[in-house]
Amino acid sequence: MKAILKGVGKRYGDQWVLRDLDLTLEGVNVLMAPSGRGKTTLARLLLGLEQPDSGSLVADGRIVAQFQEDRLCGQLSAVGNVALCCPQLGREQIEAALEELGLCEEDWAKPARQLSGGQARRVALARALLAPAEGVILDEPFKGLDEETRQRAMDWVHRALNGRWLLLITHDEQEAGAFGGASVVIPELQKN
Amino acid sequence: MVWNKRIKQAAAILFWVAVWQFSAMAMEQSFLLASPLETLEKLVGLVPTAAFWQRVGFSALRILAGFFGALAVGTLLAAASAWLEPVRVLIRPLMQLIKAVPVASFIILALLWVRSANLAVLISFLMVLPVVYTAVLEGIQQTDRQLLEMAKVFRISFSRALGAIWLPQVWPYFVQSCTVGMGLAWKSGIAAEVIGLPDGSIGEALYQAKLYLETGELFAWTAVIVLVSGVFEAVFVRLLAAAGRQLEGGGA
Repeated sequence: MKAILKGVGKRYGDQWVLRDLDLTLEGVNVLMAPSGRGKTTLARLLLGLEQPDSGSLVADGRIVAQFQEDRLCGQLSAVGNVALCCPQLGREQIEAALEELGLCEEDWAKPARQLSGGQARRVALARALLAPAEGVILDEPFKGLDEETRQRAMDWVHRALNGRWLLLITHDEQEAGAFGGASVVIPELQKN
Repeated sequence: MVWNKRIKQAAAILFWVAVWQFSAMAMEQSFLLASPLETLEKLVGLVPTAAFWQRVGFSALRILAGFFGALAVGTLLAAASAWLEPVRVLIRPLMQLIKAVPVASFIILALLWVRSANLAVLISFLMVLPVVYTAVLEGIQQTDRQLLEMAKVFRISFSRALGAIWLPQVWPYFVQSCTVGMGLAWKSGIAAEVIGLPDGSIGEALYQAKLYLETGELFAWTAVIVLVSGVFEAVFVRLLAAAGRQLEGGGA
């Protein structure tokens, strides 16, 4: 299970954001790059939300993501949000995952709009990892979590990954170190 | 706080009723301006009669048929316009035309095409249609793009996305158009009846009251229209609010 990018380029108007990117994603991959380097664009290309303007992108099976924003349906509960994207799972399985991520029973049934930032982040994380997919993109997944919760969430991600490939996008060196794996490099482009 | 507001509102209404009463007394000619008491007296005389309820039923049935028809067609056209640009391009001038043409022109034109008994159905339909269409289309276009991308990434089926993403976001726009549309349907529907004069309608009763200078009855029927329209609007808004709550808690 992997995704292969060969000579991939993407531009918006005349401005290239990515160019001649060669990349093979399998196992754990960590992407650390400054803002504006094309991290989000790369994620959007992998997810099929954008099409490359050059090169080719081939992926085995489905790819899902925890986006930079939580993107939860505000009126649905934490469980409802995960169930919406993971219809193959029973309520108990979803609740067990949320509990492992440190959400208490009281929070499972709360409408997502009433969850705190950290709680919503973990619901979005659970949704990404529990959805049936061969590849997972996590875009700053632990942003806003306290140290203990972050460690707990990282442990859970390791367990839930279950052999699938992961692209972790982060600015945090500690997180990157904890996940190890291959470093993904996006070359800097000359601005035209 | 709520009571304070209600007392103020009631006082404002009482003030204007008093202005009305004094104006009627000053004119001393009830065929020019019936007093509130005379209007009330006429209303009390009308309500227990079978003919009154038959007229209300006749008009309500047709106006509501036009209103609900416009809700259905307006929503479907808005959905089609949101997904298919050619439909949107095709529909836009039609809606602009309906909005721009005076209701009286529509009524006179429509009299050539439909029986006067069904005129209110067509006119209510035409007046409410652009309101619903515009609001629902706006709602669909304002639906959170990030949630739609999420639905695409997680391959959420259309029916599930409809219930979890589209409906909750379009609903407030739809409700707003219903509130505006209900009042509009009654106003335009009664105007159509006054011109078309279908037998047994509220519009016909209004016209006859004017013809025989029964100003008290004219005022009483006007009050009936305002009350009936208000009751229907209140009931419908409550039903929509209940449906909205269902949508809110719909997906667990």
